[in-house]
Amino acid sequence: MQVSSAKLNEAVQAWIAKDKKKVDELVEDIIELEREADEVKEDIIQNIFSKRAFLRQSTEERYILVELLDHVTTEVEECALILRSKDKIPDKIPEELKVLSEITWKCTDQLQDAIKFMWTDYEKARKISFKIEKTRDKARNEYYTIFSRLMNEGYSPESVYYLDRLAKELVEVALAGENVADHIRALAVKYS
Amino acid sequence: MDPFILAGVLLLTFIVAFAIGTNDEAMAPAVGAGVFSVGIAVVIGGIVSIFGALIMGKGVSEKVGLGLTKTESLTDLMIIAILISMTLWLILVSLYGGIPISTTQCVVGAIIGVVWIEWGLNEINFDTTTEIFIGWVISPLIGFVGAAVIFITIQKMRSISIVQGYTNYEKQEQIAAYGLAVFLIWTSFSRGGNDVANAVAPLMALGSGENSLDPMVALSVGGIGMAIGLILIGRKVVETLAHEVVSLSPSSALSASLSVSVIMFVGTAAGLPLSGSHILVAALIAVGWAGRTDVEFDAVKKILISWIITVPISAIFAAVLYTGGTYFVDLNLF
Repeated sequence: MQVSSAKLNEAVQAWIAKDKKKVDELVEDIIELEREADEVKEDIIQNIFSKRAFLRQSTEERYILVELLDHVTTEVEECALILRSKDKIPDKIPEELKVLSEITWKCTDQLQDAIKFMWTDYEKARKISFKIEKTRDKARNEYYTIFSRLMNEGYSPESVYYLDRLAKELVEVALAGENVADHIRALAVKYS
Repeated sequence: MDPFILAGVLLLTFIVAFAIGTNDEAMAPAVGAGVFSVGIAVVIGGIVSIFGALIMGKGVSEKVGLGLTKTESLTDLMIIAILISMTLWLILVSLYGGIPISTTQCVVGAIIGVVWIEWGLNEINFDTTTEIFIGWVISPLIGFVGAAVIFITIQKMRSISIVQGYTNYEKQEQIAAYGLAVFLIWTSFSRGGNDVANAVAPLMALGSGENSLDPMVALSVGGIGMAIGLILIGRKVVETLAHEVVSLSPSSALSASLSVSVIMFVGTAAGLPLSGSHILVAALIAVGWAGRTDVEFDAVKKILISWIITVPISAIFAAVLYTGGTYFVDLNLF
């Protein structure tokens, strides 16, 4: 999840810099990572959860965590596919798109820490989950800034649609990350 | 005792014990917490119940069988009516509702029914009846409080642990799962002794001296009957309590079971006919309440209603059966 999110941010930066070749390479990497993530998920479900490696309640909670993490990776892939889908990169791109991409990457970075601490320190995991919520909030605010610029600064309809779609998908990645953080926080509150 | 009558009564005891086994929910917390599957739980419960019946059943038998009438002794026909009444109600409720009811209530209700019909209410020993009734009321209250205290204590101990994380929580739940398995075996053992009394108590009431039945024979037949009833039909009741009242984790199930085992062990040793069903259901509600888990009050309501109607229905069944039996005996058909 974290690697694919980092590559997405790199891809967006390359896209803004009009480096189509690099964008295509990074998108291929992201697609490959998403497939690997799916395989890992299936392996966990078929060979670990179904073999009763954990108690029932733990299995349910771990399963939800796995599904939510997979959803983050899926959203990252969706975003990457949108990046690749337009042959000609628009001439005019809101600079906030670069900021939004970095915020989204930061969100998944924080999520990685939250997951790491979930196993050993509920309190830290809980605090990080609140940070993720704030980061997601920033992402959403950045999106509305972009949207406002698209509506008011003379972008072509095609660019408006495409850039809005891209920005929205970046926010979806942050939202998916927040959902994982919410689940971690719920576990921390429940068991501490 | 005439050998044919003895054989008939033993067969009846087996059927009654089978019926009691169909309503044995002692292993339900382990199934609810996901520690055992239903199949494994009922097999273990059945085997342990047999040992409980043989080792602990004698103490309780004497109380229930001989204490409920003032001067009269239960006749053979009365005993048969009591046994059949209890059997009918237990099997009906287990097979069609999967609802855990108190076998002690069934027996006491049936005895009251036949005694009332034959000798009137004055013959009923209300001191003993009151003592039993108080046991029914107090045991769930103690079960509720005991389970809640134990569960809250466990939660508090967790919250003051130095390092807290999901890994630590899982280790604790794993330990609780092992503890739960041990305690439920202990509970089944105690309950085997307590519940078998309900099947053999009327037999023990037949008298003393050369007509009395060897307790170990009666307890053996009772124990085996209960085990088979549990394995074949009791799984329905186990599933109801495991999944339809409250959602359980190993630690919450252990808290409930600890409460039940301790109360049942002490009560059985003291010769009190406690209701394991009352204690267990109350304990499960307690851990649900303490753990802020949803309690399915519709399921609880169904169970409570069945408890309330068990004594009168058992009394009516037994009275009708006894009256019918008396009629056929008078006609010299038996």
